[in-house]
Amino acid sequence: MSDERTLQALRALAENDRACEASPGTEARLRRAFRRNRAQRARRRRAVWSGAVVAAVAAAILVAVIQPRSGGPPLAPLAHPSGTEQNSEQAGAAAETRALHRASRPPSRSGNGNAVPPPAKSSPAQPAKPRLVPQVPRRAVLAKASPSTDRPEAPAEMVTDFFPLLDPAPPFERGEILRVNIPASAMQAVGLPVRDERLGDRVQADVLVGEEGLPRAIRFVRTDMH
Amino acid sequence: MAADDHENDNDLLRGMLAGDEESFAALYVRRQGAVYRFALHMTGSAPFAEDVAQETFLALLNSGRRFDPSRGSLVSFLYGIARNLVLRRLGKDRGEPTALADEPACDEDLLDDLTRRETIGQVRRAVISLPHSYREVVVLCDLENATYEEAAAALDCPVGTVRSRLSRGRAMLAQKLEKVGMARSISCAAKSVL
Repeated sequence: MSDERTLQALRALAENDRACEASPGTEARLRRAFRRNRAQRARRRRAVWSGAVVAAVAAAILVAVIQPRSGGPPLAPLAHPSGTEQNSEQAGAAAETRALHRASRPPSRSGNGNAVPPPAKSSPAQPAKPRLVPQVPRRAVLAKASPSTDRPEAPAEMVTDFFPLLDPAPPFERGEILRVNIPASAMQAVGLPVRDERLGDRVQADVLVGEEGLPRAIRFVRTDMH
Repeated sequence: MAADDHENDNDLLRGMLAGDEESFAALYVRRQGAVYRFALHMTGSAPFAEDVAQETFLALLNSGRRFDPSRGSLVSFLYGIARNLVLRRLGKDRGEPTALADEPACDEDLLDDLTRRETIGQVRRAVISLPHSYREVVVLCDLENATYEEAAAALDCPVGTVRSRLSRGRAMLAQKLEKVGMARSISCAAKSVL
């Protein structure tokens, strides 16, 4: 049989099978696989970012905890809720103020027995939709605590809700809130929008640390200067 | 194959890797037929060809980042994946498909009764009966119209090897077709199809 005949036979076969293709069901299955694959990658990316955030927060906490403790009295942990009906934001503000400024207050005022519910006790369990909440100006809170203190005008603060850092989180007993400075990329890791050019900026955040030392939740703080 | 086609394939692949489902779907629609037919002509099994097409694009999903345009076209990359899947299957089946072995060696009268479809079937079986190293070049170059360079990239061998295997493969195919006395019916089949 000549080469030409063989080629003719092959062309006939190719022409006959030209329309052969995989069934539409294959495309549907592959589309599903594509979406699964994309979701898995997104989850992996989030996990990596979360790990980075936890590491950054843990490092920041280490620095924040060690430094104040070397110079003054240790920060008192927040107590359990004691049935006091307090607005959680006010409680958060009070707790924040206590954690931040205890060192500057006279030692006699530190043990006043005011049980303050941990502001983020419920937040870590159910991540809230990010929203900025006007924070009570620090000066106003401080004014109640030490009316005689004459401080300069404090900036107003806006805070987001708390975002959980542990999933699932072990039971929460006691903890404290620490103000830390972390890269803005941490905001992206919890799903908040950050422009690419701002990823390297430093932002302030409050970290809720359990008594076992694990960072439980984080919220971000924006300070508006008057 | 036009350079524009390769460029489009590469654009679609980039879109797919960036998470664009429509790019992936467009790439699939463009190339699944070639992958499916390659597997079909290599094995003669439509269900297996379907599996190969699916597995090939799944592999592209998972390892598409490994594609290097400087080493060949995307369609060659896809053929390469499909070829590995086919060879794995052939290895599992422990041997080459031997469709022609079941055919009557030479039955002069049979040819008179063959319809065009049956003739095409004979050619298909003759192709499948080739040793796989010859079969794959015949399928790529003569049935899928791949260039020698594309075939070489898909089969991971030099262009010269493709040429020599193709020549040898065609000669073997001619012998096989001669054996079953298809010279006359091929002309008829070709005329009716082409």
